[in-house]
Amino acid sequence: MQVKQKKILVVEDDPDILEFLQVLFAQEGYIVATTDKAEYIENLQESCLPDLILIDVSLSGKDGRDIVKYLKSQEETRFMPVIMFSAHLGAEETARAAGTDDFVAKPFEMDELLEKIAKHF
Amino acid sequence: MTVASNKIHGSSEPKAVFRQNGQLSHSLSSNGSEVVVLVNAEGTVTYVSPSIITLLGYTLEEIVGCHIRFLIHPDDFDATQWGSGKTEADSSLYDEYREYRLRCKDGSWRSFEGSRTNLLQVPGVGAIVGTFRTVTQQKLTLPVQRSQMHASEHFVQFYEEDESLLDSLSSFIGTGLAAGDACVVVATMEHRKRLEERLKATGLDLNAAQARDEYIARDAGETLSLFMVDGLPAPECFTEVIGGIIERAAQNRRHVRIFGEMVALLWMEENQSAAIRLEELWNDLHHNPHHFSLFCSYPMHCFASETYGRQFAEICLQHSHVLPAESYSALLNADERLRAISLLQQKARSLEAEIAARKQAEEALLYMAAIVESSDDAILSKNLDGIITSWNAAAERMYGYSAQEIVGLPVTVLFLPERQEEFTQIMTRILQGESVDHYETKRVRKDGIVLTVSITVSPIKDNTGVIIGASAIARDITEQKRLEAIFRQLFDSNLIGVFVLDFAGTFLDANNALLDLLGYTRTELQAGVMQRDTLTPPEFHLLSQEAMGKLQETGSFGPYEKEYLHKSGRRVPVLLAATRIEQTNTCLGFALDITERKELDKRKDEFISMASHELKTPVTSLKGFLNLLQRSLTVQGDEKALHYLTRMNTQVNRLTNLINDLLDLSKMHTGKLAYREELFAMDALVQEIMENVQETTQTHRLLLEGQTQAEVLGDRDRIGQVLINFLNNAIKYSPQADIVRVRVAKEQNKVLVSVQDFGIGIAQEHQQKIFERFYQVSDSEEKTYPGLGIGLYISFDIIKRHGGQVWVESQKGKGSTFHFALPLVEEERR
Repeated sequence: MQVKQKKILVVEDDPDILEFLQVLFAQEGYIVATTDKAEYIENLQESCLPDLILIDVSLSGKDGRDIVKYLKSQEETRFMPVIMFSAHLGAEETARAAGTDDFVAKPFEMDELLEKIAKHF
Repeated sequence: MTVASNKIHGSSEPKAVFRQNGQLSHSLSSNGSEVVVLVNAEGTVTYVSPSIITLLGYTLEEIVGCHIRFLIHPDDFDATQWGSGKTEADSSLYDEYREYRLRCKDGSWRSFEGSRTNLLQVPGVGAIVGTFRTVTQQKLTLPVQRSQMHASEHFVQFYEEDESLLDSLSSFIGTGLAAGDACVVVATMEHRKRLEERLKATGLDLNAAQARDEYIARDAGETLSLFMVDGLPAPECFTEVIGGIIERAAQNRRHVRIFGEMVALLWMEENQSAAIRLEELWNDLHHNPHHFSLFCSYPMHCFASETYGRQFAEICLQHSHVLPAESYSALLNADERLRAISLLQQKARSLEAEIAARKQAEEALLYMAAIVESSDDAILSKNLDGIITSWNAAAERMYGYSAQEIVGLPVTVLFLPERQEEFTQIMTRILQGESVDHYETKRVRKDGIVLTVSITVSPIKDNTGVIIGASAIARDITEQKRLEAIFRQLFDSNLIGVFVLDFAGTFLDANNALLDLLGYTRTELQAGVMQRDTLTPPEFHLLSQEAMGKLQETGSFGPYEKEYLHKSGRRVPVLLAATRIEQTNTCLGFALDITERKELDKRKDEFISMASHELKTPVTSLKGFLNLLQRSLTVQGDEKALHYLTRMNTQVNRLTNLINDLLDLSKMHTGKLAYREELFAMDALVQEIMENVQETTQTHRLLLEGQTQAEVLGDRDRIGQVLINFLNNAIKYSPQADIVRVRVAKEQNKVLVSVQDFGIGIAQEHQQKIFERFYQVSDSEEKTYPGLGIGLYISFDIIKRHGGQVWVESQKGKGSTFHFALPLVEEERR
């Protein structure tokens, strides 16, 4: 029996980071979707909801926290685990206030990141 | 007259005569101690009072009809005084009481105080009256000098006009010659000439008298020179010269009368001591076998000065009789004389008092004059026309004119040309009795330099209250004004906000720059609207109070940064400092608008924030790909490559730390670094950190000693950060050593952690500064050690924010121990 693979959506606007995260998650057996566009989130179809969203606090043009707030306010996406990350340490508080389930500081310690992801599945 | 010249028998007739004359009636009611004798012009006693019976033992018949000579001791008897045929109106010669010895019945002598009054011319009396009072015991002990002198007479007359002297002199000499006495006149040529004129006018044959040596005249000056040696009369010469003259005159045992004014000459030559000496010599001459009467004279003006008082008294003492100046002699009777003496006494007293008062006033004046002279302020006086009448030393210095140059000139020479009306303005006030106080104006010195002065002008009044001039005191305030102007320049330059504040917090004064800074108008300032406490946002109140406290203690505060509230409500960041104005409750301060600087700081910090963020992004990628590589190579088993990758990872971590530190720094500076508050176990943290750090180093062993068994309230991560910083520094700065010792302990209410290395150590002069932001020890050695220089600063700040302390002990070459202490929370708070 094939265990359903978990789907992670990574929202980040730096292409290099996106690239290695993809490789990393794939190696771990996750399905990875990436986007650098915040609008993508808003148009998520119910049928294609990821199992976890990894989202940067500072996205070009939009504040990741607002997106998280939105997600957490919607019935469909309320229970979806969200992990936010940021280069700013101080952003953790505001991220948690926005509703994120967890937070990781950039630059990531890979072990820490993978641990947290596994925890929230 | 004829009645008087007859011999009178019995006593009834004279009594009838007396009854008519009130003047003498009191003599009749004579007490038993008084003898009254009437003598005619020839010297015959015409009456004697009954008291003679008891006092001298005679019967009346025995005396009346005798010559008075019989009664009086020869040494006390002067024929000229008791009538000798010629009865001149010698009213200038009055005899006051002097000693007379009278012969008693039994031949002994009894002393009396007697006086003789010549009333020959007085109608109804026509006699010379002698009054003799018994002498008290005291009188018998008169100074020896006097009794010796009574052997012969020596009297002195003080005269105001020469005429009066000549009156006495001609009487003295005339009577003498008439009585058969020899006369010696040692006088000035002028006096001699006039005397001889008078004598001749009375019919006297002077030439014959001279031929018989009855009249000897000598020049006073010449005679004086005969015995003066070195400014003093030589006794032997004097005796020789004068004695010789007297010898000649005294032939045939004639009584000699001498007039001498050599003493007066000496006195007028200012040789007072010689004059007195000469008087003494005359008196000594009385031991000479020949008796003589000596008449000296002095013009009154010789003694005009008060300084001669003593000498005048001495001269008087030298003489048996003193004849006061003619104004006194003009008085007729005893009552008048007594009155005159009393008046003179009173006058003398009041003169003395007045002189004393004047002396005092003079002293006071001298004192005032000294004060004026020694004053540092220029003091001058002027009359109502403005002419300068006095000028003190300070005025000379201030204005450059000497007193000589300027006294007599109008005060307007000191005025600036355009200010000449000032004089009239000032004088108008003065004439109204007003003073002009602290009037600031300009004056010009002799050399043309203009001074700024503050003057006070007051009216001068005479002793009746009339204003006769004005006094002015001037102080040079040029320097003071200059300094004020300099201050004013700074104030008005508006380069910086300047204010004056009182301790209560009211802005008393401010320049425009400050008003603009805070958005207030001058009117509002003057109304007292601007208050420190309302202008300061609440969060700076404590700081403000501390600053004011420091000001009152030490005299100044600042500079420190705070914010003011602009009138519009926005905040204005300022740099503030102030200094106390001495002896007041106010301070002078400046406020510099640092808005721009703050803006810049903000932008810098924002930049750092952004930069850190930007830097972290590529670092994240690096780590990410590194990790992937590591995974891949682990599978492949490429040990070497893996090793390299590990090294790379370490460096990337280091990079991350540096970036984090930078970020912290900027946050710290803007006050945005938040510290969490949680209770955590110190020992566990220490162990964890030490394990982590140990993993990063192969060169050093980290040793832990002690336990705290304590829980600390604070930000666990941050405290950990401090420990990491200390450990990393310890390792970095002791490359030659191989251990780092960590000690933990609990003390009272603190937790102590220390990290010791055995490395290069830190020199004394750097030990305080290493905790400062960006400070790096700049020795040539240390320069090889990498680092941003912010780690310690961050650690310092973290610990400080937790209420703890950080310090270092170090010796160059031996190593350093970094300590921090954190306060432990009380049981209740847990």
